[in-house]
Amino acid sequence: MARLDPGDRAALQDLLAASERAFAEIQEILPEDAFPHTRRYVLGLIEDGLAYLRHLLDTGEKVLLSTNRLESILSRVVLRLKRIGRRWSVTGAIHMLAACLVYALHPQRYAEVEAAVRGEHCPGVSILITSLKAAWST
Amino acid sequence: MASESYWTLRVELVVEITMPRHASLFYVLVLAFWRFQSLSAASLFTAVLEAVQERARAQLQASHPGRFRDKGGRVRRWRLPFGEACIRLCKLLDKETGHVVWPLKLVMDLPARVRWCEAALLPGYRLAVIQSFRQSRKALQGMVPDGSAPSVSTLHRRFQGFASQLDPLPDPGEGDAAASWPYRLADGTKLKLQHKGFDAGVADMRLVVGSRTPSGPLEVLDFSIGESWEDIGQRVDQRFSQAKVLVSDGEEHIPRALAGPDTRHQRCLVHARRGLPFALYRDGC
Repeated sequence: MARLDPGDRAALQDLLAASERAFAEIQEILPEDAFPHTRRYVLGLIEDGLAYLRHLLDTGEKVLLSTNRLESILSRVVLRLKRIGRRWSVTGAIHMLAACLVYALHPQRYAEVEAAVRGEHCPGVSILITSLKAAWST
Repeated sequence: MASESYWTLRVELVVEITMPRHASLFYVLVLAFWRFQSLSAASLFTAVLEAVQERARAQLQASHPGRFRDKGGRVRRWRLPFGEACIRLCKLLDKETGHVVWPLKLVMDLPARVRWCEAALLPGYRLAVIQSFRQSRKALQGMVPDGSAPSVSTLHRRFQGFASQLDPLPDPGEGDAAASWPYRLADGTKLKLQHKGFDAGVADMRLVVGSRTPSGPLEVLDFSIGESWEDIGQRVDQRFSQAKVLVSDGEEHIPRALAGPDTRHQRCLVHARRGLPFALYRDGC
């Protein structure tokens, strides 16, 4: 789907209609009393699963088809927060989550906070070695 | 730099170095100076603090003759990035008010009720974020010649203060906040909780991110632990304009809470494919 040409409206409309038809056929095949969950699932897919195609037809804009980009961020956070036997207090988890998110997405913001703690913006103290001589005593 | 807002202190330091006549003198000197840098910096730091304290005490007693009486002192120790500093804080009794006065505290803010200076813990925080507090402690231990390090609980407690300064949410003044980040993704996962060392069950960790363009850089719009999607949706609505496109894994509450009337909700196709066998399984297939 990501390779579809937004300019080819006729092909897009055909694809959308075919997809809707296919989902509707699956829904008809599945009897309501025997497959209540699956029917509801397929019905949801007609609405939400084809939003990409509808958006592409309306605006010519390609949006994301999956949550992979978010999963990638979450996996980095989860790597730190979830481990066998590890439990968090709500405050501790919120703080660690915030720190992980800033570290992963905005490393420059993390460095700024570190610089503030290091006192890089404080008024300077100058320490100079004004005289240094070495002499042998023995 | 000698002006009214600056003091200049001259410290005279005589160093005596006794070294062996040996082929490995270079490496012996390197190790000796590594240990010495901590001693020298801490000694100089203490000397400066003592000089400032003495000056403050002398000024106080000169401006109010006979009013202040020496009342001993108290030893304070701080773990600083370059080593341990130890100073006897001088105490004066104000005869007029009956209160105790600390001359050094009159001229500078001293860290209250903490032994480990924030700057000494800072190198450990990064490792705490990436790996664990235990590894962070070990790294701090390896950085100083005497191998001293804060306990894991000290590191954890002090990290809370540092992390509270980190805000992953975008600055409200950054760009046109009302129209920004219209392409959004939302997801969550479970997290095990504890309270005072006891099992406190499981909570949902939830995250909403957005971008200005469909494939632009992501910005965290909301994150929470143990809050419902409805609460998150209300916060996001207050802060940002309505989303244009929302992508989620298909959890029913997400579009209900985060999608507005004009929002297009796209279900993640990876999750959709994975969810169909489960729906069939629930129907007894």
